[in-house]
Amino acid sequence: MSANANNPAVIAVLEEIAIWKSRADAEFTGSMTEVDRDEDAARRAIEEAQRQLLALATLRAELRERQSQVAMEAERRERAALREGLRTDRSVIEARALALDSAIQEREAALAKQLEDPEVAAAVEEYEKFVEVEAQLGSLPASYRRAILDHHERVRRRLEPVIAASNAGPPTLGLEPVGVGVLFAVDPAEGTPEALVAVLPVPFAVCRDWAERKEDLASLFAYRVVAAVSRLLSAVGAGSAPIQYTELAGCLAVQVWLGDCALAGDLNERALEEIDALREEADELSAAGIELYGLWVRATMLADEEG
Amino acid sequence: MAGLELFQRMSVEQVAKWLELHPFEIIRVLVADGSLPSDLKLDAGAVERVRVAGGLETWWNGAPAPQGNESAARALVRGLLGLLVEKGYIEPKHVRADNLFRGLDADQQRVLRRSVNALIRGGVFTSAMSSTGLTVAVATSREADAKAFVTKGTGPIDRLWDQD
Repeated sequence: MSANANNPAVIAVLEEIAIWKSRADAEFTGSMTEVDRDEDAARRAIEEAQRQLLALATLRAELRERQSQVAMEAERRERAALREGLRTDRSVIEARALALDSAIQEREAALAKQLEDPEVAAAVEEYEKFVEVEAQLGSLPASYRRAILDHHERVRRRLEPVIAASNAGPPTLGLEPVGVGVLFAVDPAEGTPEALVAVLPVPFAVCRDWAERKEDLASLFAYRVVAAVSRLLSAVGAGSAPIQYTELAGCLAVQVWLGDCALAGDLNERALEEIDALREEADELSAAGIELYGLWVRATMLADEEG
Repeated sequence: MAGLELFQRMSVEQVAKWLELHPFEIIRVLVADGSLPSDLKLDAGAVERVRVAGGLETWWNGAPAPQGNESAARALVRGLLGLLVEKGYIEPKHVRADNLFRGLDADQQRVLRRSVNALIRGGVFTSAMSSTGLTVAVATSREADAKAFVTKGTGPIDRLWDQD
């Protein structure tokens, strides 16, 4: 019998255990290596993802910044476009004002020529004398007064064509119709308005220099809008709101303080209705081929440029 | 011989010059009165409506004569305070501010405007904004001062006015 053969059975068992353990250790080592490798790979993937997240966050911030610049630039362009629009519309009105004035002068010159006719001139002289003494007629005896009034009526009838022509509406220029806009804004844009502004495409001089400046189409345009704003204010229960006239981009701006008024009604809708009514009523604008429209804009669009 | 103007109704500008009132105010008064003609041409009736509905008054027919060695400017201010007291424009009864100057020439108006501003700053006048523009009244607490300045030419208003 060999020595091995004589080994106790326990030895064999222990050897098997040692082999098993060695195999298990080797397996463990192999698995751990694999886990380490996978962990490294995962860590690298996380680091890469973190790098990507950081890059995405940076890109997001850049996009936001670019977007805010786009919004600012859009606002700047919009503001510039509105001002340019005002300037263009103002030029149109000023040019048409000259043309209308010239047409009116031409018509009045023709009428004045009619007054040179000896028969018409005599009637005009009588008419003028009547106007001079009209206020004193009450002190005259009734029969005498009646005779004067009857005679004046005959003179007036003779002059009726001249009188009617003198007070006729504006001559139509026959020019291509051009649209011009009045800009409206309220501040604040949301909630109860505290201020209303209407910017007209007419030079501020129609307000500031009215006493030195000849009344023209731009003046009449301003009167119409002042009337429309006054009607609008009455319609929304703000008839007593104070109004100020200021200059904006060389144009006339009508500013209304609404802070002390309890507004009743839709300011936006009523303003456009008033502009529609104005368009219907203003014969001089139609005659000059001016088509008026109202446009609501954000108050910030009418604010002065910063810097 | 008269021209076409003999037959023509007046423009807003002509009425404004006649009434010494800004054209836009003429428009506002006529709109409030419901009588703005659609062709913006005004007859004598419309002019009278502006005057009445707008509360327009002409207080001056030239500047008042100075008393003693008083300056022309001081006489104007004293005259104005006298008119306000006489017409009862004591707070809360206000008058439209442009009534204070109508009838004076441009230089006199300038002097008086400066003084009115000083009187508002000094609390002698109270001022308020209305649909017809600025309105003023003598402050209740300063009525006695105003009367003293008008009748005797003395008191706090005299000193206030001298400082301006």
